[in-house]
Amino acid sequence: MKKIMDILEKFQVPVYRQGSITEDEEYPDTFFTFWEFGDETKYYDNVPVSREHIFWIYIYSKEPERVPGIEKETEEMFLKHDISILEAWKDAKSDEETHMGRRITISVREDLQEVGK
Amino acid sequence: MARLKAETEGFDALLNKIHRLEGDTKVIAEKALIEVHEQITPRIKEDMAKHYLTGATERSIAQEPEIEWSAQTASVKVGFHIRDGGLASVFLMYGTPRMEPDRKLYNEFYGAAAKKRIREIEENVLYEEIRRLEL
Repeated sequence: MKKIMDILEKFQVPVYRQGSITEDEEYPDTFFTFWEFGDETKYYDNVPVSREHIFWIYIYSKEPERVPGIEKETEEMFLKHDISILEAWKDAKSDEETHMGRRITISVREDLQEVGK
Repeated sequence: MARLKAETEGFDALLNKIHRLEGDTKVIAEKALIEVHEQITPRIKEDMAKHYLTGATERSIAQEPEIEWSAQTASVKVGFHIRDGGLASVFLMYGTPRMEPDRKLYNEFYGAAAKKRIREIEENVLYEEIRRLEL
């Protein structure tokens, strides 16, 4: 998670957990949200060796002209930091008419132990 | 339709055996898919219960199994008719900045356990038919 947060924070826009903005809070002009929705553990000889954490990362913005650039940069940074892109950016529903929404699915690998040690 | 699709693809060996036993593969394939629909739809309705407000999204759940054939593969759609008020199901599964995603609902459609469950339901029906034909 820290790896993802470090990347998103480079864009200097707020980052929230999906669902954490309250009814009386206004949306920032542009912001990210995230949600870890799954994980998959890999085993070798019945020993867990790694775990893939799967995240949805969302971007919401009332500045649609900014979004394609942010999408491209986040993809490049994810790949540079060994974060796999499972599904490319696609439209996501926004519950404010003023903001467009987009969502990407990524996975981050966590090594649990070295095989054979 | 926010939906999952159960198909008969991948069951060729079982369907061929049914054919050799002179069973009606079309009828049996459709029976397997109807069983999937009947077992999965109540689970979706149960997941929706906690989201009940107007009932519009729940009413958009496909009540009757509609079998579609494409070449030799049959499929059934299970889930929400988007045009009939089911759009909110997409909100619920993926969430919004003000609403957490409903992981359980998402997994009913896209989770590995759901896919496994569907395959098992289909297999059980096909094996049952094979046993009946072998008697």
